[in-house]
Amino acid sequence: MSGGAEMNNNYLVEIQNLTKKYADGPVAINNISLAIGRGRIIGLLGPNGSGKTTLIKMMNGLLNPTNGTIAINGAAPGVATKKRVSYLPDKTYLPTNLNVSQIIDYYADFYEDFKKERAYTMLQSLNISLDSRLKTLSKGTQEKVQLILVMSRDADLFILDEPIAGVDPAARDYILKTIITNYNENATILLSTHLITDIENILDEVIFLRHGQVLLTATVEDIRAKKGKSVDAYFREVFAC
Amino acid sequence: MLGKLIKHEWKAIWKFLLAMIIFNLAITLVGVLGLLFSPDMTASDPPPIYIIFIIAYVSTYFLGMAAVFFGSLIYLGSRFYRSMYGAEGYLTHTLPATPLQLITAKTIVATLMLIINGLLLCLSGCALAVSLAASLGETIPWNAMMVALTDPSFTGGTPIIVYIILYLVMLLIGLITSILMIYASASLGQLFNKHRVLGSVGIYFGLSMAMQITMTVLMIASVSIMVNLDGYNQSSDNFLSTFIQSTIATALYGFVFFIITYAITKKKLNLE
Repeated sequence: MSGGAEMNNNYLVEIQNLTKKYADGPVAINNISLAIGRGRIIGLLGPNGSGKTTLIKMMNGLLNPTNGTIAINGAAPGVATKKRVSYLPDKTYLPTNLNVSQIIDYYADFYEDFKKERAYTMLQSLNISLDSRLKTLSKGTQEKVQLILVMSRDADLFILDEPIAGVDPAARDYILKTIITNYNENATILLSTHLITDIENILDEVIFLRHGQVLLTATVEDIRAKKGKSVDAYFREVFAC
Repeated sequence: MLGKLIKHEWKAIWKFLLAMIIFNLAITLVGVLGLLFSPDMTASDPPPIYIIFIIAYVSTYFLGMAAVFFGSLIYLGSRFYRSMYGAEGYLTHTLPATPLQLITAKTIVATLMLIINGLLLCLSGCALAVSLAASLGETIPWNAMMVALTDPSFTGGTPIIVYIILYLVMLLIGLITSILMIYASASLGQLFNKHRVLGSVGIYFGLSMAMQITMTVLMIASVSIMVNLDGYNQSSDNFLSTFIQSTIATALYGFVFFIITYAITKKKLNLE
C-alpha cells in the first residue's frame, strides 16, 4: 500500500488526486492519492465525517469525483469494476419483499462469481432459513444476510462499510471469521469501521482518514513495532478530541 | 444484461399487476352478470333497486378504472424512486449494468404493465357493451362497424381505422412519456438535500403543467397556421396533421425526460 502518488500497475486500486466536494457542503475528500495492493485486509479508519463512506461510494461508482481518478484493475468505476468488486454498504439495502432464497437467486443471476453453495453453507451456520422473508428478519439478521451475499462472491476487491456495527458481539466473531475465510489470497478486503478493537487482529494494514485527507498508511506490524501500541490505542491518541 | 434486468423488474411488479387484473375482472364480472340477469330493461319503469345498482356500478366502475390507471402510475413512480434513489439503490447501482440499461429495463416493464391495464380496460368495455346489448335484446352491429371503420367516405378521405391506429401509436408514446416524466421528476427530486420525495412530487406537477401549456400553445399555433394558409376547414387532412404534430411533440418530451433521467443517474447520483 502506498499513500503517495507513486503508482504501479500491479496495484489493485490506484487513486490519484481524488477530491469530492458536495454542492453546498464541505470538501469530503481532499486531494488524496492511494495505491492498494492485492491479498491484503485493510482497515479504513477515521472518525465520523472523515470521508470514509464518500471514498467508498466513489470507488463503487455511486458518487462522481469532483477531481481526480480511481482505477480498480486499471479501469474507472463502471460495469467492468462492478463485476469484480463486492460491496457491502453501511445500511440495509435489500428489497424486503423477497425471501432469502430469492435474493440469492438475484445475486447468482447478476454476478458470475457468486457461489450459491457458499451462501447456503453460511446461512445454515447462522440458522437463517431460505424461506424467511427479509422483512420478517431483524435488522441484525438482515445485515448478516447482506454480508453473506457479499462474501459469497469470488471478487477481487471486497469493500465493507461498517460490517459489524449493527450486529451483536456474539455474531461479530462469526462475521470476522466469515470475512477471513471467504476470500481468496489474491483478493483484497477494504473494511471501514469504528470498532477497531474487534477487527484489529485480522488487519494487515490501516489507512487513517481525517477531514478527507490521508493521515497515515501503515502496516499493523509497523504501528505495533514503531509506536509500541495497538492500532486501537494509536487511533485514540491520533484522533483524541 | 438488459434481459436479466427486465426479468427481475417484472418479478418485482407482477404481484401489483395481478391485483389490478383481478380487480378489473371482478368489477367487469359484476357488471356483466348485473346486465345479463337484469329485469326487463325495455319496461317503462324498471325496479328502483336496479336503477340504484346501475348508478352505483357506473360510478364505481369509472372511479375504479381511474384508480387502476393513476394507482399504477403512482406505484411505478414509487418503485422507481425506491429502487434507484432509496436504500435499494445501493443494490441497483452496484449491479454490473449501465444507467442506460437500468432505465431502459424499468421503462419497458412499466410500459408493458400500462399496456396490459389498457388492454384489459378495452376488453372490459367490450364485455359490458355486449352484455348491455344482450340485456336490451339487441346485438352489436359488428358488420356495420367494420364498414364504418374502413370506408373513407365516412370521414371524407382518411378511413377511421387510420385514426384509430394513429391514436394507438399516440397513446403508446403518451404512456411512455408519462412514465419518463415520473422518472425525470424522481431523478430531479433526488438532487434536493432534504424532502426529496416532496420535491419529486412538486417537480412532477411543474413538468405536467409545462407540458400541457406548451402542447396547447402548439395546438393553437398549428390551427392558426392552417387557417392562414387554407382558411379554416375541418378536413381530415388538417386534423391528421395536428394529430401527428401532437404525437411528435409528446415523443420529444419523452426524449427530454429520458435524457434528464439518464444524465442525473450517470453524473449526479447521490444516494442517502
